Amino acid sequence: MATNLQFIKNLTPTGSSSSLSITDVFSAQYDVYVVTYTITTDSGSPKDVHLRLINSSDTIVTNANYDYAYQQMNNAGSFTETRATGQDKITGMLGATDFPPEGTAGKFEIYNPFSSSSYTFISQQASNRHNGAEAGWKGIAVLKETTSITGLNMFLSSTNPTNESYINVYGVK
Amino acid sequence: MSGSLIKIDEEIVTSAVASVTLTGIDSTYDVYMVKLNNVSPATANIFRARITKDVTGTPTPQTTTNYDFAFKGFKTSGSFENNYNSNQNYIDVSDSYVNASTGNANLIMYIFNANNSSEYTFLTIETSHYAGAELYGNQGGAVYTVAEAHNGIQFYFDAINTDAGTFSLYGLNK
Repeated sequence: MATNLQFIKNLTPTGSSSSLSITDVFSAQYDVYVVTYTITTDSGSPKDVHLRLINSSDTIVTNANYDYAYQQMNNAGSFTETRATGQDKITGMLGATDFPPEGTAGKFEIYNPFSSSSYTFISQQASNRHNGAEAGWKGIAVLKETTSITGLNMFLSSTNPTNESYINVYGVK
Repeated sequence: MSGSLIKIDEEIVTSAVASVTLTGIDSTYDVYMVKLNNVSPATANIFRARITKDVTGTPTPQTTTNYDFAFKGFKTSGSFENNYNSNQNYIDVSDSYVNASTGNANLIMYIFNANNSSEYTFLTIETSHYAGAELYGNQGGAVYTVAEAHNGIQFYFDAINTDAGTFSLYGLNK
């Protein structure tokens, strides 16, 4: 059987909320998913884009069970390693966004989200530009719960993603 | 259900060409993926890319000094490298020289918002190839900081022909 991506759902924000939830996208139909995204914000101040997962009760998982590690590769030359365990969110791994035409764009893979017997793992890559500086991002993360995950939540700490933003979710067949 | 990875353009190089251009990026998709397989230069050299835009019907590589990029260079001998630059007129896709014939550069690239004239064009890039006697690969990102509509991407070796390789462009349907 040929391998391919299968589109599941997309979300374009209205610009009125700092939090973007896309629900009912992970199921028993696929083990692996690809998420593509672009996030721009309505504030010129750079904002980290955070990630949490949503369980089968449509509740955002805020337990301190997220581990992550990522490399931020700045085009000015400083390459920064960020790592943390036991966090209540995946902090900043999706890149720092800014007012358009700057922002952050990337993709990540999610492994085993719907399974109630395995952890949910993530591998990620992005490119962003904020305050006139570009960076590449490469990261990994895990939710250390055998919770059945059916969606995801991207959010900024205060400002709102603009309607130039989008999240697209695909299943890998 | 049909797949969402839609092949838009493909160029298979079997004899020397100066560059390869993949076109067909438009407003249909937000995100495009490029797959390069077994790409080799005539002699070892650096592999580069530029995005293109339509100029009176011709996809034209953009050579303004508005490319920023930053990659972690993975290698099998020595320390990993921090590869970065700003305000260039190309993206250094490989940084290190790609060997002729045995170099076989391979790449997966995602291109975001290329046809959106309100956004910069962002790219994520993953590569692997042989450089001299060692395996080498870049992981990172790039951006072209001109908010205009683009229609493709051009790949080329610096001042050297491309002798072989398969270049494919896909759209991610939604």
